Amino acid sequence: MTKQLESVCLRAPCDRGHVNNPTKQNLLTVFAAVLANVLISLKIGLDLDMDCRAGDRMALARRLPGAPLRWLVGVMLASLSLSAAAVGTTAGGRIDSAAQMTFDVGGVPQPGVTSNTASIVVDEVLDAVVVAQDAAPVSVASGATGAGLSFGVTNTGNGTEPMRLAIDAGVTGDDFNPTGAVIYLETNGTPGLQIGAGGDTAYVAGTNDPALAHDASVAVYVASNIPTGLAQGALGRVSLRAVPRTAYVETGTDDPASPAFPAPGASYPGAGDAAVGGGGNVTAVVGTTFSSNALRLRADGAYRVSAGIVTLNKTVTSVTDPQGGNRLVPGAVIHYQISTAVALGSTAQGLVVRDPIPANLAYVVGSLAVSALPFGQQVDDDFLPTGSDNTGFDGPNNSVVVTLGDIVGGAAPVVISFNATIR
Amino acid sequence: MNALVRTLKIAIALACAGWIAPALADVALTTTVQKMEHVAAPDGSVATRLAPAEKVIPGDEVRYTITFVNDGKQPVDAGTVVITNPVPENTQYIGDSAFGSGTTIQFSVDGGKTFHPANELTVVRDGVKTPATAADYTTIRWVFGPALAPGGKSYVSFNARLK
Repeated sequence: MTKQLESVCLRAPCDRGHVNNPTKQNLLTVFAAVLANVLISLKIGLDLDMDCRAGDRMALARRLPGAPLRWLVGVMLASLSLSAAAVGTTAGGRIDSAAQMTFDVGGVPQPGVTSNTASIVVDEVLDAVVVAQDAAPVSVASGATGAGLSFGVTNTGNGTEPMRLAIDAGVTGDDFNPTGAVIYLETNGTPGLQIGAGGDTAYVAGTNDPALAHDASVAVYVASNIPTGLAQGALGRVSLRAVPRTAYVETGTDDPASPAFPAPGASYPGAGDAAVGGGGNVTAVVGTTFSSNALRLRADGAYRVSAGIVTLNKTVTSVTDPQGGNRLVPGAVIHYQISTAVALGSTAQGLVVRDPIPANLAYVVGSLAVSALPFGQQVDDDFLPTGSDNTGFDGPNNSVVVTLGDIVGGAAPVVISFNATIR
Repeated sequence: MNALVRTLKIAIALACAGWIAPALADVALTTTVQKMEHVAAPDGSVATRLAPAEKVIPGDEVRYTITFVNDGKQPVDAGTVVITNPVPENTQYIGDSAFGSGTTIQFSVDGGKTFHPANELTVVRDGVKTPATAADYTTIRWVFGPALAPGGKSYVSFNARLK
């Protein structure tokens, strides 16, 4: 009996039958599209983008004690429109069919006849997919705390299901195990992980399992601590898994390694969503991603120790308002300072620092100063990086651009300073 | 006098019997639905069998069987039994699955307004007229060729996949 169900459910596809050309949404294809949407600036000889909102950066430093401001890999988290292979008709729905017939007797058309209505109720498929949203290992410093990984969890079944989440930090095949991993749910409306007051909500299994309608997704983050004393390039993996809560409740386990973990096709009468039009709850049937070969119920994120080659520290050294005080009001002048340093033993090649200024700030012409520029370069504040300078204010992109060339580790930090006025 | 009245009553009754409307052909139409189960045989082939349509989930294949029986006393004229069945909502007709012994089968892509043989159906996509596929069918129609004698019975069927 199980075998028959298995063969039926394994065909329970990924086909979205209601389109003219049913296409199988291969999750790898989707993930590739996600990759294409992510910008990465992680390589030697790159442009480092830094957000000009120093206030934000300082707040971030407060939330991550012990984690100094590091230059960030410009990872843009892709949106969670996963459109993963999701089953169609909503659980509990009824599908009715009745035939009509006409006929003649003795050359006389007779009144039409309608058959009874044959009715079937759609059962609920329990299914989920977890996708890692960071396209490359997230750069961290050895000893960092609260380093975040991003995931997306989608209900690819056809009913409404709370998702039970769990982490495995002891994944093998990597160089270290992240510690103290905590799951967060995206709840505060700001993309990305924010920990602390006004931030995202920590996940507590069984208490706030995120309820997802069919095809719906939720962003999930994992914050972990990185052990100290790790070598450059060390890789640490964390695995996030999601199991529809009905499967957990019926079997008592959310661990695919447990013998009680259900196989595709396992069914639980009455455990599904309510049938439309009454008649109780439909049967819940375990979907195909529970197969041990598919394993899309989990995804791995990774950290890579990659700190210290280039460090950027941006600070506000002072604020001067028109009345001589230090209030942030229109007309106030903010004095920014960016300090760049390259770690001993490395060389940063072709280093360019680019600081986009928000639209509500105006760069003060002539205010850019750099403590040490490559030989022959000077600050050219003609509102465009032109000629061979490439250091100045890039008007069309509203950014301060400083080209530093190759910097050998251990050299004195280069200090960049400029002013901007609040419009 | 009583015998005359009685005879008259009988005569009237007999006459009235002749005026009762002739018994119409009474054709009963019944629909049933079953699930198609595909079972892998040890030799690797896949056998199909019909099972009760419980526990259906998207992707499952179901078969609708429509049975018609002439329960009346008069034969139904040949070629006049026409059965129409819309493709049920949230399902997709499975191409080449419609069956009916002695029937001509046609399909509609416009909600039952017009019917054509499968190989003559077209739809317009992006302004271009292209052959219709099973996914486009909205309605199935069987025309039964033979006459249906009293007590005669036959059936038609089709398969659909749950979306």
